Amino acid sequence: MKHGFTAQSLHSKTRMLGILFLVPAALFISFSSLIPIVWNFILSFAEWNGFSSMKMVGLDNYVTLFQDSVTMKGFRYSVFIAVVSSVIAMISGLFLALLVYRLGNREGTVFRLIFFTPSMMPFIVIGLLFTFILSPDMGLLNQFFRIIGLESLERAWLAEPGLVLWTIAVVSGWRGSGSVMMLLYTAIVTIPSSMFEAARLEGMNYSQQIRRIILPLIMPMIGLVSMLVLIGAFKTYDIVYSMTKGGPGDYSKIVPIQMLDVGFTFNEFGYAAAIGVIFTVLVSIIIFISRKVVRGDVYEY
Amino acid sequence: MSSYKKSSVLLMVTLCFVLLVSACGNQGNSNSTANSSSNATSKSDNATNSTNSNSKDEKIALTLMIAWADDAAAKLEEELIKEHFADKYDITFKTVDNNIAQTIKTTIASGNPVDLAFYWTDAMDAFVDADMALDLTPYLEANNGEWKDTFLDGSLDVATYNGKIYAVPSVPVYPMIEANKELLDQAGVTISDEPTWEEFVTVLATVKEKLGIIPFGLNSSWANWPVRENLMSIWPEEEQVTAWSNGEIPFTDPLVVEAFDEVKNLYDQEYVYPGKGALTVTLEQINVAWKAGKIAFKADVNFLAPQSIKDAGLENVQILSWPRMGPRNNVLAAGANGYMIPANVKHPEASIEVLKFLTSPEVLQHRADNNQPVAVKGVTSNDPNYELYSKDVVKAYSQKEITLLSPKIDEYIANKVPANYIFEGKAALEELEKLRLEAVSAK
Repeated sequence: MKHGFTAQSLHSKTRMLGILFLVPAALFISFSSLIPIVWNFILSFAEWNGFSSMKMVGLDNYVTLFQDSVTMKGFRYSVFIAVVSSVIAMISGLFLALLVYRLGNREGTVFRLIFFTPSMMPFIVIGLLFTFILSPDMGLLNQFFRIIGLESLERAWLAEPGLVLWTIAVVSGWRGSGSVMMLLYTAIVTIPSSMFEAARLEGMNYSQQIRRIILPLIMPMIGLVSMLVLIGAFKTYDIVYSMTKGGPGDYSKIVPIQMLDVGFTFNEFGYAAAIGVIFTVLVSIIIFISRKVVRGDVYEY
Repeated sequence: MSSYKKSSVLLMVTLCFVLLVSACGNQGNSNSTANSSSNATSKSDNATNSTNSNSKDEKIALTLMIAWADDAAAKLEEELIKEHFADKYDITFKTVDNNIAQTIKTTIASGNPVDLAFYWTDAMDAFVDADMALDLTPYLEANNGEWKDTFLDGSLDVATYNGKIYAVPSVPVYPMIEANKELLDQAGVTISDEPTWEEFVTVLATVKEKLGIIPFGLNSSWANWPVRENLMSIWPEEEQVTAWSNGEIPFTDPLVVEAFDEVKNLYDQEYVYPGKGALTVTLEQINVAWKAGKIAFKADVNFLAPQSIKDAGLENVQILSWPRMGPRNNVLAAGANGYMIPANVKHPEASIEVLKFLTSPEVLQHRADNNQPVAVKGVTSNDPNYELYSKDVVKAYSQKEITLLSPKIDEYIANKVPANYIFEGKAALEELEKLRLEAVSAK
């Protein structure tokens, strides 16, 4: 006992030190996230215009929510855009990662940079850019169709009710594909090259290697990335607002835009909080389902 | 090694402690009033200093939010204010953007309101209903209405709610139309300066047929103007206009349906540029089309028209009043660009003093020098066309729009009309009718 240490006391000291280091971050997250979440939940049971005193109204806000057709449509639009854009981002990101993996170092670096560039651009910039690209008269897309003789494909991409959500979802998915590509590429490069060598010796081509080696081994990463992409997609606000502001009419009025209107235009902060709570629950359920769907085994190698 | 470890641990603990203290301590100056919450110390933040610490030698800190980023005239006004009050107030300016309503309400709710804010005088209902706006009536009527008399007759009416005035105008705003006379001549048509709706639609049809262009440029943000104008002008009797404004006439009334149908017809016949996609066309796209001669008529705001014509390089432009569906010659009470003061502002007298200076002929003369019509008396302009850009100022409706009945009706008509009517037909009117009944029963 010359030094007065035992293994147990050293372990508890290390643990205490770790806790001490985490306390500032935990306090910060509590103030910036946890407390506002709890406050929002409490506010959802109240009527408050942001200025005068608050009045508790029980479940009235939730009853109003389920009777409000505009809000219910907003939930549908949000889910649609989130799911479709996530699928597009995942599929295109995976496809790009598999293609880039085949390239050499130098070419791969260049292409990775090119494909990742959209992910670096702010959503507002993307939204404004595509507003011009998708302009019915002078936009790049319709002009391209005109040049190649496919005038029948010209559309008012952001003005037709049946088309606007698909358009926004594709743009959002395109923007997210770069990040997915980088993350999945990182997962692919961690696979030992010996596996690919063995596969080549057995006569497997690249598509077979993808099916039998790459996809099974990176499935946990695919699951993680798809969850992150889905969470990000549900928070979509700026790209929708910059492209359509929820229009035409309210055919792309997603939940965040509706919440802002309810809170800051109608001064119904309690109702807006209720919308937020239900939206959070809905997103959690969808994330849970997606985790079950995209589930992979973890292999040790 | 042991001492190295101890030093490292001590350094880490100290770092954590410093982070913790700075995170908790970065609350800025605290206010002693009941409504105050945390303030930022940075000058770029929208915060005001503590009132209790003001002494005679300390200037009162004010935060003003009066200028849009692209409004050169407003930026000049900021400079004039800063210079004029340099010895008295420590003024910080924040830029106005499309989230102005949210920003003002957030600052009010936090207990640190801006001291003076740009806002549209006809859209004050959201603030008035929640008691968020300062009643300016006592200040306007002080000294026998000295300040009130500086404003153009009738220009304060739109910001009057239950007999109280909650905002003052600086630049009257109303919709009008610019016509490219060269294109009209090519099509062999003329149009009067104050056209009826029928005349306007007939000319649109002729121009489209003769020139093969989609003649009317109306950007998506202003797409509700035709509906709003028609809903005010369609009534044969003046009493009906009043009844409509008060929400006494249902949205399913045949004349209301006709007003909506006429606007829907514009889009169905593809008179609105660029045809398909007209509901989402931006002002920039309209400006490009206007300059390129792709449209013969451009909907515009009166005070933006001079710059629009100048930027397009068009020389032969006719200024039209907005087409009217009914017998009266009024224009939409589109209100005005103006200013409001939050109800819980800390220095109302200081805010009023700045506001009086801001709306004085001395300051607004520079807008008149740039052909912008203003809402005060005592300004002059040498430009012979100045009158054209403000000719309809005195013709505003005395009745308020139905949009002022409730924020929900206002939001619906501002953002969802005419698109929802075009796509959903009568269902859209039923939604509006539901909102009207809610608003009327709440009053």
